[in-house]
Amino acid sequence: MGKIFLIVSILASCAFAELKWASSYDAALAQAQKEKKRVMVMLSKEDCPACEYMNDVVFEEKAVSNEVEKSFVPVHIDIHNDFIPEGLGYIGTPTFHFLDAKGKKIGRYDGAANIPSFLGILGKYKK
Amino acid sequence: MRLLLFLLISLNVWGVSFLQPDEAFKPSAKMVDPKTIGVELLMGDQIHIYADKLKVEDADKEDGIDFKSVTMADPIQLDGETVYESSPAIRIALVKSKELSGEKKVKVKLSYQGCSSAGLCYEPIEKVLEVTVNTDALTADSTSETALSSSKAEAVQTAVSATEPQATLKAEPKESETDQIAGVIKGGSLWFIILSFFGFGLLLALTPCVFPMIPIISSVIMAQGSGLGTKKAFWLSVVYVLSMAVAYTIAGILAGLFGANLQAAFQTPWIITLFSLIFVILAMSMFDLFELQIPNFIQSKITKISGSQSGVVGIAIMGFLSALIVGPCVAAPLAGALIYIGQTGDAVLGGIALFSLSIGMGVPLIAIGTSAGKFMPKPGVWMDTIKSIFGVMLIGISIWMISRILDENISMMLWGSLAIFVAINIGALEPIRGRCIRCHRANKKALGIIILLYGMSLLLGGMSGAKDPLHPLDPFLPSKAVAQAEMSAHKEFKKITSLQELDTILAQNKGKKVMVDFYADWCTACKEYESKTFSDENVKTAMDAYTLVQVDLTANDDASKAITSKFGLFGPPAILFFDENGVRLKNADIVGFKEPKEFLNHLGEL
Repeated sequence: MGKIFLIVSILASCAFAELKWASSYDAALAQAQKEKKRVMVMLSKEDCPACEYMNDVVFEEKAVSNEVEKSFVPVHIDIHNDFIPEGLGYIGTPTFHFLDAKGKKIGRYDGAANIPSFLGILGKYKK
Repeated sequence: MRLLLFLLISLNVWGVSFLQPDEAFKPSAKMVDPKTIGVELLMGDQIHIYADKLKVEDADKEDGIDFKSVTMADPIQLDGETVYESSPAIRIALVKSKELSGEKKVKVKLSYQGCSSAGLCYEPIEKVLEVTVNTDALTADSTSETALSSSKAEAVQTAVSATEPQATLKAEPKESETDQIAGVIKGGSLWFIILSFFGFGLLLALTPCVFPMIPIISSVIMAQGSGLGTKKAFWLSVVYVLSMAVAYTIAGILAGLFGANLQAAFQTPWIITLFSLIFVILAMSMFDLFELQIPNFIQSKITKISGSQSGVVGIAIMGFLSALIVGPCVAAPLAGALIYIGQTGDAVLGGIALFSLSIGMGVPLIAIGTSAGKFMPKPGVWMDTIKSIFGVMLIGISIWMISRILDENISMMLWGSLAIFVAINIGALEPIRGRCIRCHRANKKALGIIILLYGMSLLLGGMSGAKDPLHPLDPFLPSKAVAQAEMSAHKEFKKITSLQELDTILAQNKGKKVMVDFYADWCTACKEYESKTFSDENVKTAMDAYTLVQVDLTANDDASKAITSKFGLFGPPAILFFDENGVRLKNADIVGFKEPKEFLNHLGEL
């Protein structure tokens, strides 16, 4: 029973995964240069309900994922498992850093935001 | 569920600057009395910590001062998480494990992890706090017992062991009945489990689910022929019940091990048809009186099955089969045991539980079987009559089984035919021969005519599409049919058959509570829901608060299996509840039938 449930939920989550996250920070910078976009870094970790909220609710929303894809290359950095590039600070998770394609910081946002607020943040930091 | 929290609160986070971790959490420790350290963890505005991430440890285990016990305040439920929003008021009772005197420093390691409700989660934090203790006041490890209970401490405290606070800290949420039963197996000792499941079984025997087994066991024992002593009848009943129990056990273990819905497999139309035919043939063997001749070679085989020659084996086979076929009601205990096996893979314990469940269920059957032997009269006309009655009942069971896969009006026609068949055979249309005023034969004929008339109405009603056996002639009374439909109108269920449809409905009905009923045409308890519970005036009113969805599992195809396994259900009837965000209320599930009153109580608790 558990296995079936697992498979069903994996399938379900695949069906909804709209946003394509870059595989690494460097890959995100390279892709941003190529596509003339900016980079959105999301610092997150396990056991973080606020991060789950962003992933399960905000980024699931088509309006948000479209807006991100249009102007940014998104990338996840796990603050416990991944290398954190210099200058990307945080007091907790999630923390968002918006960078240009060269890695220069444009803006930072601490914490989760709901869909309308996050759309506002994206609008503020896009080109 | 916890996601809801952020959705609501983060509306106003524009420009909010979050507290630094040092501001968000302010731990401190001091002696609250000579033997007790009090640890406080003050939290900033909108900050909470997770109860299962809060740990208190002795940072220096070798210093000769040990933590005898650690207590803290009860955590609260916040959006599905067990958290503290204010200081957990930790109290540590100290004892000496070495000879010590004078003032000593005790180090307390406090680890915690939390979030701000405005949408930021902090890193796990570990702090070591130092407290000075006068060791002269401490008692040695082995002697004292009262240090803690007499300490003043807070009003409500839960005792928590220092090493694994997460195990006991979680406040128990309300559980559904099935979960409670699964919980009985998880928590209890072996004998407790066996006894409780035996009890569940006895209760189960009082539900209509078991009734169809009564004529089967009686007729099987009857088939042993005359002169059967009480003792032998008893042992034969025991064999029947034991093999029934074995069948449930095997089914349960297999279901658990393979994660498959075995009972559902036995609900597939061709198996139902096959078994309903077997029952017809068995019934035929009872009908010598009606002179339904069947070829000799088949008859000899049947008598073998129903066991006049090799009695014990035949009865064992009957018990085994009837368990699988006749007990399809999904009762909570059975589902609970199956869930436990499914979740843990502990097939042995689950199997033992199921076995004692079915033994409990079988005890009344043993009583009936034994008395069937006892009250069996001497060979003669009487015996033939009783045999015929059992034959009719067996045919009835076969119709009841096949009616799960037939339209209601067709099964009504079958019932009608059976009634007519019976009526004619007890002489409804025969002249009463000889002188007879108020004699037995007249009564019998009157009864026959009543049965005949009812049978004919069923047959005619069924032919014209009636569905209610108590009102078979409704199709001929159009006005009454309409009035009835209006009477029992509760909000319409949206009928669906697949998971996709359910997801769509849940998505469309954000902001409304949704009640999802799992139904199938072949599920008798589901029909009881419709006729008793859902038609109750109070229940109707209470149900208006919900968007009503009905999942039709009649087809029992892949779509049905996908949806039942998604929710971990074993079959209908079952009712699930979803909140305004389309999130399933985990502990609100109903499995099995509930009377209107119980159902109302359940709705009230949501």
